Amino acid sequence: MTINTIGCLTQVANFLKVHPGKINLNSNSLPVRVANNSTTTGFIAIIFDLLNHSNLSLGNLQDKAEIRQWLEYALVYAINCEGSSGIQQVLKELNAVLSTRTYLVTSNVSIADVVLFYILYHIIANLSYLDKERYIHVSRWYDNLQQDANLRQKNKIIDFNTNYLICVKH
Amino acid sequence: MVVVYSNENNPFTLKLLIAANYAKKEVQLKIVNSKDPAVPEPKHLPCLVFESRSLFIANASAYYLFPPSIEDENTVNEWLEWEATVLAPSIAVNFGTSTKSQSKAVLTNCFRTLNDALSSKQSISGKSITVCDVVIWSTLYPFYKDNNISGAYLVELNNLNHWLKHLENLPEFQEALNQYKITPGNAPYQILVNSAKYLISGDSGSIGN
Repeated sequence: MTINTIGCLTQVANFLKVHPGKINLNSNSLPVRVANNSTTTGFIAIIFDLLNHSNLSLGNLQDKAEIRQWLEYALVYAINCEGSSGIQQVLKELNAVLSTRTYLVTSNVSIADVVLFYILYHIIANLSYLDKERYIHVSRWYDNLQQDANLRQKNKIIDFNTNYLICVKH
Repeated sequence: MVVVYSNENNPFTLKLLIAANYAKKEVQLKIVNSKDPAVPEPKHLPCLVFESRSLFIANASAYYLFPPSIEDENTVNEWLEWEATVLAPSIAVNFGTSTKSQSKAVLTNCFRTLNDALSSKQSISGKSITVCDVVIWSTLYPFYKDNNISGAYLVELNNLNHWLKHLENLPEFQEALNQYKITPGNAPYQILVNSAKYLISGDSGSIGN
């Protein structure tokens, strides 16, 4: 988990074109970012900090509340899902949420989509075609996000090609 | 209209009710089970529903209802994240499942950390009560009210003991406790494990409710 947290924050900083500064973990396993002589503690606080220095909008108060929710979800659930039952639970939950919306919070990409994109990369990359079909809304959302080269960064394109051609009974 | 969907005896529901009392916002509490069609996906409870939006993460809901002042924001963010990633999962797994693993040692550390943070203070930020006091206190409440299980952990942690009692007697906390019943001991944590759908690794499982 620890390496993932710092790795994700660095990717988010690159995406936002903000200098990541120095990020370490403190004795409570929370990430600490030191940049421009100021210190920020906690994954969620660091993400908000990076956003404040970027061009990406945080939206209104309600959007911000939903973003906070997805960041905590990313940290408590998505980043910790090892083993198949955890992975299946997270994918099932995201699939249900994404069945009625294009992105997690608003009608545009928000930082919530970006953070989950990086955290879920290895899980999605290792899914079987059958699972990509089973979680079709997650696949559609992920495939859509990875078209943005700036968001994808050095990650390889994940192949979803045949998903849309096969109809699976749920 | 702001609605809180919750099952019964869920300690995280206290977070929302107390936060609403501090913010003087009226919320309507609806008791449901997580399979109720009215509960939005991903059907974690408690869930806050307002203006065709929903929040299923209790800390995000409590923060939305009762946001901190700008000067308390950093402290509050740090403690909320600690509660979400360290304290709440450890206490829920330790008292709400048959898995013991290393969560007991983690918990002892948590209580020491809190006790140190509360040294000669009535609240975590040191000034007024903020949403991080509300959230942490709510998570500890069933544990603190059961003398058998709290006794061994809380010996010599005077600051923490004092803070737990002090907050319990405040009107915003009393009002929530009168409105919504939480039993002392393990049962609320069993409900929490299932309602928050914590991922419990390996072969261990929750003992259910």
